[in-house]
Amino acid sequence: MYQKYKNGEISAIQSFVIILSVIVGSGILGLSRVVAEVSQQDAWISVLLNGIFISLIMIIIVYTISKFPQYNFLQYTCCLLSKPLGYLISISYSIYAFLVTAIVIRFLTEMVYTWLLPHTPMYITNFMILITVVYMTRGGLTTLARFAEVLVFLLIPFALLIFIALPEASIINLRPIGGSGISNILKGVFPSFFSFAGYEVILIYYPYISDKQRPVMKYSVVAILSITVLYTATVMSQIALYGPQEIAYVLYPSINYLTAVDFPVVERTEIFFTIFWIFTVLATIGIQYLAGCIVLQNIFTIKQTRFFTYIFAPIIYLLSLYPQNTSEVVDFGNLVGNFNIFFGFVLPLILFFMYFIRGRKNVNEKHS
Amino acid sequence: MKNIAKILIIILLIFPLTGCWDATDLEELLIVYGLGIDISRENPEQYLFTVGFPTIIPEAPEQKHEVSTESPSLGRAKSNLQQKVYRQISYDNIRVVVFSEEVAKKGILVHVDTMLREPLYRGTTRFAVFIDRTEDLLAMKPPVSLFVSNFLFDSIEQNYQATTVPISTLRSFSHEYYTDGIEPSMPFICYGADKTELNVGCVALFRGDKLIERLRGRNSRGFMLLKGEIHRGIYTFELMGGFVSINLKGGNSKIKTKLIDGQLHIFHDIFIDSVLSEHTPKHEMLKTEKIEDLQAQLADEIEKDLRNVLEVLQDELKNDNIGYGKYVKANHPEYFDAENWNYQFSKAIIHVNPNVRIRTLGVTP
Repeated sequence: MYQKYKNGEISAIQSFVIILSVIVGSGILGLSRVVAEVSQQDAWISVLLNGIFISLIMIIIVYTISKFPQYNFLQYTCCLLSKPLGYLISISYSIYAFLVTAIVIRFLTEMVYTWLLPHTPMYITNFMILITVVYMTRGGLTTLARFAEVLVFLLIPFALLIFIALPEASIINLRPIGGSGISNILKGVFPSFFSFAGYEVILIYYPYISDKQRPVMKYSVVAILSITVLYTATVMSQIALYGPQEIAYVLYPSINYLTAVDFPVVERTEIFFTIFWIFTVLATIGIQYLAGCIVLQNIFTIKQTRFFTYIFAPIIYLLSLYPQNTSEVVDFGNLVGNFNIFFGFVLPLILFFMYFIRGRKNVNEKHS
Repeated sequence: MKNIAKILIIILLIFPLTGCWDATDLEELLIVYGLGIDISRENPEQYLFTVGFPTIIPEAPEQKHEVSTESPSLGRAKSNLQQKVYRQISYDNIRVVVFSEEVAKKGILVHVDTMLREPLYRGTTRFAVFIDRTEDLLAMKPPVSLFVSNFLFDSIEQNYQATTVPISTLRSFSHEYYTDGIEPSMPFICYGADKTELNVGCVALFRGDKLIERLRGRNSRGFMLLKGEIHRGIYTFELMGGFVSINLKGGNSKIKTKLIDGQLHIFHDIFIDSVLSEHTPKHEMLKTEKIEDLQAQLADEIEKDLRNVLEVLQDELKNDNIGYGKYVKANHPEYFDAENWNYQFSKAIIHVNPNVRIRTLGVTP
């Protein structure tokens, strides 16, 4: 049975903020490039379709877990999928969350190393990020949610940066609309799916929402749709600037995009962007890391997550240093991204169907 | 225990304060303003890279200096240059990169690669081609500016605003190079009356990364009008036994494409806003029909200039530097052949239609 004040609670609004913060992270940096490789100038349509698709998944997730308001992740997976499978999935989720944490830390380090601190050894930058994350998460979910709540306002200047290079952009680069073909547009949904990775943390955090009587589903879907609008606008503006061919040669279009124009006062706009972006990614890392720790806490039924936030930090540190170069980082990221398909898509669907097959009966029995 | 924790926290807090211990002061940097690339005189397989920088130190005999090195690539050159100077070279303030005509003909992508790869190079770094050796160009002392790179930067801007030359930056070159349906172009710098005077009034046309032709005079202006880059500048015509000049005040262009019986037709309407700044034929202009007549005559004259440019691009060079291909690709993707677009462009029928709108006549009727 889920104990109410065991690890802090969050409000429904904070859950909305958490979803926003966890998604806008490293994925936005190369989003246009990876999607445009598949669906060319129609990459923005792929992103838009993907956002709508993920909104539907979010509805399924929130609908299913809302039937188990007093259960945590381990408990409702055990209830719906049997105990061994529940434990297996929970442990796998923790591993997945820690891998995501490690890879996002490494992405952040790579970016900081390339653009900001080229003379600082990566292991130092990595370490600094990690101790910040541990500090963020050691206080538990309530503290982290407050941190995310403050940071969400940084998304406003972040979103405004989309308009910076528009005077240099040309609509002709987005045409012919639909010209890459329906099959390519649909294939483009796949790489854009990874840029939305992280929304599945609602599986873990939902039980900790204290005011579940509020429309959590609406908040969650609005969060996804807000990100979809941000991402679609980002991809559209970047393709309008670069065109689908040039963008293939730009590793981080979101940053390079800002170097296209000279700005008065701010000499290097990309650094201005990076400041906001680092905080946003820190939130992503913290939310993922704590999700992994909370699942472990569910499994080992100990009082606080603090123990796990300390104990796994060195492992995360070593994992994040494991890739030898940018290419390996990307490969490692793609590998971890594949797990996202399971936790973000397959698992919610299984849980949803299992709820109808056996959960409904169990829940009714419990209630009676 | 609490005291130990406090001491540890203080120690931890002190550590970040050491973060700037190895910071490099601005005075210790060698800030490069301009980069010139030539073919080496001694070894034509090698390039000669020249950087121009301010000396900063008040006691220095010169306020600026240039250093050159021979190298097969820009990456190697950077290493060589660093060995020749005593301060750390910083490339993130480069305002202009100038390629000699010879280098541009050989291909510039090999040099651009480093610039695209390193985040220090701004996307707004300007490119230009120089008719002679850039080592001489960077050593020049323009009468109105301390640094020739600043002079070129501002001069390119002025000529761009005067609708004479395009602005080509690291980013725009990369876009035009990698995108199908358009070929790069950039300003071409010539000498003026003698070798102490520079003239930024020509346009260098590229195929891929190689220079193939230079447009000058009215052709440069015509090229800019076709590109839809209509800003300001004085456009003079010989009409009715006298001179007529208009001051450009902006404008726009619309490109439509049609396939008629398998033949590509490009309809290019160019709208030019202007004010009358000179009209030596003695006619009273304060009549609607007179203005309309003049507008029609000016449009005819401009059309001749535009036709001349299109003739060079379509017939002589078979090279689309305007970017019609992007429109054809967007409107007729089934017809557009990325590999053979320049050939398709040479066979296209272009209906160019300039429209001149004279807004004011000045203070004399």
